[in-house]
Amino acid sequence: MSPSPILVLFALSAALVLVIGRFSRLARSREGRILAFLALLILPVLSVWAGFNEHMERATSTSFCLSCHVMTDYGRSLHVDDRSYIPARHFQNNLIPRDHACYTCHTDYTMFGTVKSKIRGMRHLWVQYAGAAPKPAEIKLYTPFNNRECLHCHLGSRKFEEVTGHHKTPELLGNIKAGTRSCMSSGCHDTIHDVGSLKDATFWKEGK
Amino acid sequence: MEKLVKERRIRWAAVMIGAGLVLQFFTLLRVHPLAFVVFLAVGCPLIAAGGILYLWTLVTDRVEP
Repeated sequence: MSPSPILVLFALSAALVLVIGRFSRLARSREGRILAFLALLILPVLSVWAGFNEHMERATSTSFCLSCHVMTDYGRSLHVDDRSYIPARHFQNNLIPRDHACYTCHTDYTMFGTVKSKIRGMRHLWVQYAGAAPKPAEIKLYTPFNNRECLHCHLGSRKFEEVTGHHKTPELLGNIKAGTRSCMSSGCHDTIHDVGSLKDATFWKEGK
Repeated sequence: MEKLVKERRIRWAAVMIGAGLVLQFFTLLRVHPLAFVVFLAVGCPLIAAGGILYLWTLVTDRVEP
């Protein structure tokens, strides 16, 4: 649902609630009681449900993640003109949806992955506002990046299955799929955001 | 007297629900993590408290013969 109908729903609900609050004697009649039930229970529940879904959807957007100042360099790293930067390569080649770039790689592709992502997001907020926020270059993942998140898209693709780098040893591809050999920390795809070296980087300008 | 108490409770329920809805309306105007937190941690409890007060009013309401 786009935000406008949700805003209208909220405005309508709030207006009706205010009418009931201002003229509470309406609840003396049967019709008034029905209106009060609608205004004080049904419409607020609908509004909160719609608003919550809207916020959850927004929380997966790139602009949401980059709205915190500490993430600015991570947003810049998506535009580095260097194929070895894994996020930049994915972002610039549309291998991930650009408007959901962060979420696509940083959610867990499990049953409760979205919930876990939200809990991690709350932890980010706690660190940002109640703790000592680290410098961008010092930010680390809470747990090592799981191959599962890469394999969610790459598994089964011809390029992934046939590329020579994945067949250096007979067991390598199996180990990658099993998660016993990390895609990122085993020296193969280890240039991730690397925000500490952005000052020396050149940037891709879209459309040029 | 009982009607007045009931109406006062409904008024308070409306104030809490209305405040929660207005607050949540404003959080929807911004795309920021804090907007989500305010929606969840302030708006929802206000609306829930108002809703519970309203339901309490309903279940304690005497049916007139």
